[in-house]
Amino acid sequence: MKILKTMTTLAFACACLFTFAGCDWFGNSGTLIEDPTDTQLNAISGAVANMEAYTGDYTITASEEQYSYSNVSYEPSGVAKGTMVERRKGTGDSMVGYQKTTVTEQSKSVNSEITYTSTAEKYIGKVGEEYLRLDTTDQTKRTYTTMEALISGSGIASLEVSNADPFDDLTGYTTDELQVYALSDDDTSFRIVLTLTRYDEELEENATTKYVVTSEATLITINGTLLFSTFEQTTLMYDRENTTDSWGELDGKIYFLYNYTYSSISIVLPDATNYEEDI
Amino acid sequence: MKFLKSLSVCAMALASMFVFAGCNSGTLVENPSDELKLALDTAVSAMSTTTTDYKATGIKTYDVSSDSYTMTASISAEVILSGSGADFKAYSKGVQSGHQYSDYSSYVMSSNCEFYVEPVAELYALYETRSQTTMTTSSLDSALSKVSLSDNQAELIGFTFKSFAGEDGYSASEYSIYSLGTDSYRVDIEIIEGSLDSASIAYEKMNINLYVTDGKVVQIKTADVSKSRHTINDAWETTTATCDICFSYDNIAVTIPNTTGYVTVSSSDFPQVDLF
Repeated sequence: MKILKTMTTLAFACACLFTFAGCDWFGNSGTLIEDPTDTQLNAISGAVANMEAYTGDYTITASEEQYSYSNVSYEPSGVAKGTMVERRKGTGDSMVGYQKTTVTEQSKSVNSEITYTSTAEKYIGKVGEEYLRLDTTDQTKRTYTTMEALISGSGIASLEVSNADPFDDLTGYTTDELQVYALSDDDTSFRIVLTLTRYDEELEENATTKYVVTSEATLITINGTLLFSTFEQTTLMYDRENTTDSWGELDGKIYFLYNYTYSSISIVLPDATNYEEDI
Repeated sequence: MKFLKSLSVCAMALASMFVFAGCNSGTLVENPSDELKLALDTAVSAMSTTTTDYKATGIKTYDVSSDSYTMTASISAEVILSGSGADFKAYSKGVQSGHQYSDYSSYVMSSNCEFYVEPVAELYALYETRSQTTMTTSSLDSALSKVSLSDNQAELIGFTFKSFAGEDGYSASEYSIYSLGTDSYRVDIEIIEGSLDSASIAYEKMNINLYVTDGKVVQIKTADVSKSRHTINDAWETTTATCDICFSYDNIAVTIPNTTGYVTVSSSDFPQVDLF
């Protein structure tokens, strides 16, 4: 049940789907920079680190979809979809966080059908002398000794750009692989599109799995720091049984879209008086 | 032949329930003889050794309720073995469905498979009708294990009979034998473990009705209620399981369907019914 295992790793986020239903709204905007400078490329790569260092309030809304296809009737095809909204406010002991996720997984073959849905809502923050993770869905709480332990054990992610590794160094890509668009005249906002084909082995002739990954991001400057505004990625997977075969039909697909906003927000921790200790 | 043994303790079906609608009738056999108890043991044991010419159908249901979630599930299965040697044929079908709900999650599933087995040119062919697939193997055990109903059947029965005549078997207070007519008996078994007082964290009550006619088991019905909780301050979680399995031994026949166009697959790709 490879699909189910894969599906269970899934998640999130979607309010923004509507906001960006016109990803073309961003998608086709900007002026292509024919020969981006290393300064421009390094600034864009640096935005990943900038986000990790960001200490202001933020909201992430995200959606993720994962598909597994089968052309054999008795092998299940599946789809898993998730949405997530996550907010963080403040720093240090005054930091509070909120996360809500919904997940739907479906798997279907000629002989079977499975549907799973779930919702989870969590808060983190310091209440009195306790560092608490509060799960409102099942009314449980977990206690930590420090804010760092609370954050790392909460399941609430830090402000990060998932799967942004290819953005770590943009200077080595060809113009077929990477296009950079200027969204302003002063290098304060960009749109970038990165399309890469990768294999499970270094050389295609030795590979049995092929990945075609298309990533698109928009970046904006907040208080003088270049930060991601959206990050969208589609991964198409192709398999073949033997290295001498041609690549088969589409075997799987992963899509996700993250939207980041950096405005001041308010988070009110719920009254956890009657919450049970989560053991 | 583990499969066949499992098979023979197998499965199911409500269709014949009406036959035993009068399941509470009969005459209590006071002080049953050792011969009668041994005959009942022999009938139960025969379920594990009968390898052909019988049909078993049955259904099992689960209901679980607690203060945090509910779950309902059912498994039904049918198994028919017919003939021997070159005339051997087998049929099995399994259907499962279930759902689980809590305030913040739900899980709904269903699955089914239908299999036929027959000898073909010194080998055994398995057919699965819904996926229209065929697998060929030289091993009958392998062929039968692939249909997976052995697991279903074990799941359906859910317990192992103890002896009526043996020293380590049921105690006299745990079962009663009723005569239903000539060479026909019902055995009611009730086993209670734990107690439902405030200090208990687990309790189980199992009722079994075993019907034996002409030295053969013809029906098994079970009702199992168990309750558990983590501490005495928690609410009880209640699980109710019922099972009804009927066996017949006459006029058994299996007709292999037209398998023209079925796709031949490897052993690993042959479909199976997955259990919960």
